[in-house]
Amino acid sequence: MLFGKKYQQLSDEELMNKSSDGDQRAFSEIYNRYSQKMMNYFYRMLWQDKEKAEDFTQEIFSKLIQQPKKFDANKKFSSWLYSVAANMCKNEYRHQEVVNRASDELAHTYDDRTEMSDGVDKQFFKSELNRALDLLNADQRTVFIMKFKQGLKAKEIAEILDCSEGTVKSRVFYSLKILSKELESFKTYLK
Amino acid sequence: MSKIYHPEDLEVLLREKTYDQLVPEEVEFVLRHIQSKEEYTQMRQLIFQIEEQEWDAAPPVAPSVKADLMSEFKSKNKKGFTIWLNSLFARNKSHNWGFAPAVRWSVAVAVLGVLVYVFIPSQLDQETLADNFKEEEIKDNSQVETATDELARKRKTESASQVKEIEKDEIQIDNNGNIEAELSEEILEYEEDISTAKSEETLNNNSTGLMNTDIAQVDGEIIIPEEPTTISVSDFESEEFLEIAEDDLADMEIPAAQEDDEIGYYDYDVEEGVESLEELSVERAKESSAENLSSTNFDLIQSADVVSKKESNTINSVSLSTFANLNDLFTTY
Repeated sequence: MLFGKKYQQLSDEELMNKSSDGDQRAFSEIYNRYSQKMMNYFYRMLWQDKEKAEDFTQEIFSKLIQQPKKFDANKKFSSWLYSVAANMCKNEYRHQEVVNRASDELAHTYDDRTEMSDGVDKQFFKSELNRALDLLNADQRTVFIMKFKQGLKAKEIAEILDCSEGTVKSRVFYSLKILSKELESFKTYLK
Repeated sequence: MSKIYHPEDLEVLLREKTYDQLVPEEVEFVLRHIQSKEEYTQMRQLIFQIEEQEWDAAPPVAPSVKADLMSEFKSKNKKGFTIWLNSLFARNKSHNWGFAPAVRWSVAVAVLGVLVYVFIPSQLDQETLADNFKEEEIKDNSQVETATDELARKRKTESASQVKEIEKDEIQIDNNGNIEAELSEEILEYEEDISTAKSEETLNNNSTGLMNTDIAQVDGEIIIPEEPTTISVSDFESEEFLEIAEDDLADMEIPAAQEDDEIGYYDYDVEEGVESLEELSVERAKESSAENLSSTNFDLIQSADVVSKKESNTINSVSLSTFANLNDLFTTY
């Protein structure tokens, strides 16, 4: 209990240093802090695919175990972890053409559903929003999910993505513009 | 004063102002990025809708994920001999906080112990040997001195007793039994001489004498003591010894000795340091001794042997050493 309390009081960076030195409790504490956040992120980034999100979550922590020295001590650990996660998602987008195929299929479905937009409800809007997110490019989607789903500040996102804060805001704006266009059929719902 | 807007500022405007609330400069800026008022309004509503949206929480991570990761972590950081060495020479100081310093100190102590064991005892041995050598050297020198002194002392004391015996013989010879009354007086004088010699020896730190196995060295020459027995002044002067001497005196009777009988006489040349055996008559021997004793320092006359020529004499040879008042003993006769 004493050790547990002690580890809970340590910062992410201190825990990561201990973990890289083979401290099992430190690694366990890091996992407890970030496993669900990563799961959420991957889940939202990877088309709400639970299995894939779980695999990606395990993979990112496995990277921490196998290559702990890759952690940049000059960076905030959470930012570094999200950047790793974002890159993983980008690679996933690149290596699979699922995004485009799904986009085409969903776009067709969307068109069908827009015809019966009068009866949409909140849940339907949510599903449509998730579909529209797939239309964003990787950078835009990453920024959008980090901002609106993960609740990160623009400054944090900029740190994670190693870009300026203005770039993040600009990407958010253009993401909103694309989504607004894609969800135009919901304008009566949005009002 | 017009404000410079950037695309990233659009989100702020969308959140804070309706299209109708925008000032002309803001409208101008907004319309550069957004096509119409409707789009502006739709985007504004979308932001609020998204922020109000209750996102479906991702399902919890399966416990098996953590179990797999922990086992992977254990296998990756498996402690073993390699870890032991890494701890010893760890680059990261947090790894060797206690173990490496302990090992280093242990090694240092062990090396120090070996050095102490190897070098210091040998130096002590050398010092001890040197001290022993010096002590033995001093002891040897003292033994040489002791041997020299002892030889001289022995000869002196032997001479004392034998002179006494000879003189007794001479007394007997000279007076043919008529001076026995004076003998006891001479013995008393002799005993006084012995006391004097004893006092001198006491002042000379009570010499311990020599064993027959002792070997003394004087000026590079090895001197082996002549007598096989230990002789010390104190022993020689003891009552027991005197009793023996008196007994010897009784045995040394030379009843038929005449003045012209020849005896062997050892004359000691002090300057040359040699003894020479001369055959003299008893009368001449006495005269020679008297001359020497009266004209020289008694201490310079080291010894003289008198050999009786009488076949009837049971004592063939006695050693004669001079002593302080030997002159008196001789001059009496």
